[in-house]
Amino acid sequence: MENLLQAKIGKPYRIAGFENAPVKIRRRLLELGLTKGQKIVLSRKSLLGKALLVDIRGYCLSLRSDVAKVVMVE
Amino acid sequence: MIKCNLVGNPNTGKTTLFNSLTGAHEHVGNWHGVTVEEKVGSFKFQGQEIVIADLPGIYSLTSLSYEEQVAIDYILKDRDRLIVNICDENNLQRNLYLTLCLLEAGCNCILAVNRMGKRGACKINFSSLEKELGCPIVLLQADKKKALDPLKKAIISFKAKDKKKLPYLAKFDLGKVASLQEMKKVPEKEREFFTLKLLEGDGEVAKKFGLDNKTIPDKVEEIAKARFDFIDKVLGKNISAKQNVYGKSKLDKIFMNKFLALPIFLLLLGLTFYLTFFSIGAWLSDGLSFLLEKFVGDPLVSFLTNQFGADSWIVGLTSVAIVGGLGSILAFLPQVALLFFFLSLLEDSGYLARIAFIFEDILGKIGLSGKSVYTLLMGFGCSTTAVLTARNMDDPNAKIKTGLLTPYMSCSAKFPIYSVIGGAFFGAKNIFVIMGLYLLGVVVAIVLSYIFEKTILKSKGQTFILEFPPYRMMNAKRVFSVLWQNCLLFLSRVGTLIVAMNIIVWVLSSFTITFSYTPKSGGVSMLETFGRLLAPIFTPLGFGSWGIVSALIAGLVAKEVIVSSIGMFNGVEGLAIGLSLFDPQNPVHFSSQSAVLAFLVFALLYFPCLATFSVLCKEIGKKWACIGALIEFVVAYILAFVVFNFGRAFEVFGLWSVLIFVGSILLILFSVIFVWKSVKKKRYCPYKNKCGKKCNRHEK
Repeated sequence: MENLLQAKIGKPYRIAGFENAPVKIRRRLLELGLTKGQKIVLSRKSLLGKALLVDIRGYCLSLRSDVAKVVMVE
Repeated sequence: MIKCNLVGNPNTGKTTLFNSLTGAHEHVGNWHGVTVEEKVGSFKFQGQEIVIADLPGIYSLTSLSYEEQVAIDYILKDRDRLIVNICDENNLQRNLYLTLCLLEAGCNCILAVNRMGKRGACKINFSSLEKELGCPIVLLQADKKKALDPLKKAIISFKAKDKKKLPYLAKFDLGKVASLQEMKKVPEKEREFFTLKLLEGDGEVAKKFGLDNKTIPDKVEEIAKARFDFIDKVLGKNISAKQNVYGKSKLDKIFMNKFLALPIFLLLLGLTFYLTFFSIGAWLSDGLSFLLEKFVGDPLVSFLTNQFGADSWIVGLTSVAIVGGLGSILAFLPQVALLFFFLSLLEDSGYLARIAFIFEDILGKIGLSGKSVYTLLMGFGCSTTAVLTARNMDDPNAKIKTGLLTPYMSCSAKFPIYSVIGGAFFGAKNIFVIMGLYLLGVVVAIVLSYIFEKTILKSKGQTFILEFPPYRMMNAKRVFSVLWQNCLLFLSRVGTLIVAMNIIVWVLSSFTITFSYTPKSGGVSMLETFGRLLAPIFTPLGFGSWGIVSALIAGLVAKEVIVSSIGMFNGVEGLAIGLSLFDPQNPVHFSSQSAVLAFLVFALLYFPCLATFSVLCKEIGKKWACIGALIEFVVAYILAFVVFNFGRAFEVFGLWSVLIFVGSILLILFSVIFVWKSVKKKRYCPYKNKCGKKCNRHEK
């Protein structure tokens, strides 16, 4: 199990949960559809890796690295 | 009269729908927080008046920001008010989450599914969906007024009926929490809703009841999953055909390609820059100025001259200050219009989100957002109009920072200063001087932004999560509406200030302290008096002659004025200005290249021009505008001081001696710091285990 920052681009993962996530971020991520078991694909990373683009629940979401770090995937 | 609320996720077309229904012209954008205050409008249908409020976008009934809390409070304070819940047809999976929250709260909802852009790739069975959710569903296109009748009909004919019990709620043990002492105070029908919110860990609700979050189990993940599972089930039954990931596009292979992204961006921005400040923009500016002069200015001036005589102050005031001021406003107007036009294009097409993504790496560190890039880069053309484009930034601290930093992007008005004065002293090497100046501005801006970010202006970071919009064709009506709004705002707010400032400076340069008109009486103007007074301050910077200082004061109005003021003081015009700077007899002269460099650095950085300052006051508030101006002055002074003195040192002692001198000082400084640090460092102590005493030697 790894966090979203470590994930490989293009490989489908399932969300396993959150780690060290502040309450507000956790809630917002859940509201956006990042629930346990949901399929998620990392589609792009910015040059220095500070921003990520993921495909989830049929739409495209961009996250900053500090947010991506708390999302655990497998 | 029927009252309703327009509620939905951000970017679902709420404001577009609101504008179409009520005929308003509110600004629309792909950026969160564009709708920050509630907006209320009304329209008539079949004899009934309907009042609708456009609320900020929310994701659920728990808020994460001030704007969201405003929307949620508004919804909850009048639970019976009809809610038009707008969803994006292509994004139902996510949008329906909010719908479920609203239904759980017992709100009366009409689900409005908005078709944005082309027909979705999937077919949706709406009648079946209606039954599952228990609320009427209407399909519409938010930007087409004619297609809105079904919605209007639904609003009028809405009958509040018993709410359907959502099946997934049954498995949560609401009873236990509902029976808590504090919950008994809540009216029966609201108890379930608040219980659910407490289980979700809603801090606001817990505070309201004086309950400690810790006594209630945290079920937020399960509840969220239950809602989404329900959505998946319901949509799965009623949607056919798989759709592509919404927001992803093949075009991104080009636009976000590792190697092409930046060049394409620079190209597009360069094009915008060129069209706004050089070709179309310049042409329109000149055209308007010419028309103003010929049809308003000249006739007016000659009329007044006939009435009062050519040397009357009324003539001077009208021709120079008032007509001149109006002229410069009209000169700005085409640029403002074009800048906003291109900004709308960038926003609506979805490209701005890509830019934000690409630049997130650097911008995150210094606390700016993607939209800042546009504003800052347009500052190279004109800071006044550029700052206006920062209007709709959602993060207030990022907006302040962007506003404060835009003046450091050397605007086009300063260019004549570099080319005339720098050109006279540096000749062909001036190109390096100019490039250096532009670079200096950018570097200082980045450093300042970093400092701001770490200290007083930490970005609130609410835009750490963003939905990526798909590429879309722009809507001509919307773009025009934005343009119109912004141009009007510019004319009314900024225009009046520019004219006022023009008048003030004209008075300063045309009247003596005793208020006698100088062209007539030939005294010393107030500007000159102030110049002489303040000149000594600038002697350490190398340019302490009163002419320079007076020109700088005049330059507060507009930087273009500096060169012409210098010419006026030296009594020369045009090409002769440069040469006149060498003569020490002239009011404006420079005694060395270092002085010139220091002056150029100072001119680059000192106060923003009054037009920019007035726009900053309006956009980021008087306090920050003043702080920004002060910082600029201090930075300008320090840097000019450094440049002048180092420059003189180079000139007098030669490049190498100075470098060696500075290098040795730095070396000594570093060695001292190094030694000091290693003395402080905890040393390895062999007695660690045996010695009972506590001392810092026991670590490591």
